[in-house]
Amino acid sequence: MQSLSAELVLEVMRLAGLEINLERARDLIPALQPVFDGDAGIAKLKLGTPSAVSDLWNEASRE
Amino acid sequence: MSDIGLLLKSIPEIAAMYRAKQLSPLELTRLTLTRIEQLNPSLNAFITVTSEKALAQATRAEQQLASGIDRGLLHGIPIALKDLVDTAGIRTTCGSSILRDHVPGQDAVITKRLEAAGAVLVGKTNLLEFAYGIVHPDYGQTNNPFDPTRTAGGSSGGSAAAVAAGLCFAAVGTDTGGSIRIPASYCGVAGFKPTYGLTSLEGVFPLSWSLDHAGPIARSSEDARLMLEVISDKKCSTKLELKGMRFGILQREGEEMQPEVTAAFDAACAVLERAGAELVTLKIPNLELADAALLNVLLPEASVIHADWLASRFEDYAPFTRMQIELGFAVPAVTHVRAQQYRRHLTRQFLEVLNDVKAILSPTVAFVAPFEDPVFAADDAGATEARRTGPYNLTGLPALSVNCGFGAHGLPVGIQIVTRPFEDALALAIGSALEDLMPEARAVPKLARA
Repeated sequence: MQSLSAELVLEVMRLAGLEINLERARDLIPALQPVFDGDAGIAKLKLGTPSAVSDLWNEASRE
Repeated sequence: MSDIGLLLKSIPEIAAMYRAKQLSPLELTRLTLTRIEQLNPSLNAFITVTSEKALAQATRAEQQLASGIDRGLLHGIPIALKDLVDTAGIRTTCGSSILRDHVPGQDAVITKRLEAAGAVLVGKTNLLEFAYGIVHPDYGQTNNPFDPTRTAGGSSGGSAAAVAAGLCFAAVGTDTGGSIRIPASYCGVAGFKPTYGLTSLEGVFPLSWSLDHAGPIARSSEDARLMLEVISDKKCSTKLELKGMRFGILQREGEEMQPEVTAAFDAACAVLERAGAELVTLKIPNLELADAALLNVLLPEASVIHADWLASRFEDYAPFTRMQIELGFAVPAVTHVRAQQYRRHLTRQFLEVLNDVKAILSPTVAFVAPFEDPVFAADDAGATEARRTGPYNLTGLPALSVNCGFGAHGLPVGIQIVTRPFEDALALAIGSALEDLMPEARAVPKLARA
């Protein structure tokens, strides 16, 4: 996986509505990299097309 | 009977003493408040002690019980709330500098239900800042009653420490990745994360909407059950026959496991086996991705909640809390949605397994109470700490931690019991059965015996 740059982190955060400086963006990279590594692991699963917003279980199981 | 003897009794025992007129709610509340005054300086379990309200509620409970108005077993029982549960007219800080002087205008639903049941609120308990990653320096760490040089755990550490040391009979905590069960494990008490949605979160400050749960912490599973019935406003009981019941063992192993935790967990499993239960070893495919999924759900949800304050008051956050909130802004939507999809996938895996076994057992945490709370982040001790609790925030399954023994230095070890959705009563009944089978696991912290 391509490693993150401070410029990229800064820009992504700006697009999400948070303004930080380049130095701060650089500080966040070590904590952010594992988030993307974890996501890469999940992305490899064959999750198919089930909804990501449905109930966690069948409502019929509720008493 | 000594004061501490009274303060460590079970809720049904106290309720029986009230009704036999051997003890009054006012007497017990005064004893509890004195105990808080004595031990809170060492434990730092309470942010606010609500003496005046407690004495007024206890007086009312005493008058009502005397005149035949009986609101149930919690009537006149001293309890505490984690300081992110709204209490009208009583400050609710969320363990933060930002809400240091915040006084809610209304009670949370949970607060209202406890008040309607006649419970006596003795105070608001300490927590990690906004129930997130770290202690805010304005409030400091909650210390462990079994060893005050160590943490009581987070984020509901104040609730767990207060219950363990006899500063209240039960408390409410919240749990987004293990924040009820981890401190319960470190402090040797029962901590229950109910099925997702069973308890109301209205008036409870959110950390991550889709992962948050509120639940009871008490000195026994039975006391936790009584609290749950009140805060959920639902009956919660079931009969249990351990003989022939099939349990699945999960996450017993791992390089992070302390040998003393494995030994205590194995001993508890052996006790269940001797009682006639059948134990099998389970494997859940792709469970190792749960740490990442939890963070990828939690980080952006929490960041949305804190966006305004992060822009205007970022210096008021503890440095690590601020960093976590910032991180959430860098998590892409696809990453978040994929983690949400993984949750449904993981839930199906668990439900399939739970067709074959009645409950899943695992160590609650891989280690005993450390000196400080590990920060909750990817790829470090924080993720390791929540590795066995986080999957049940993702899946919403009910999960109970009860004490199952002690490791080195006499520190408690928790065992986690997980059941199908809405089988909360079964998890609590198994916890009660295990507590009955292992009376040696009910030790009183040295600090509380003083």
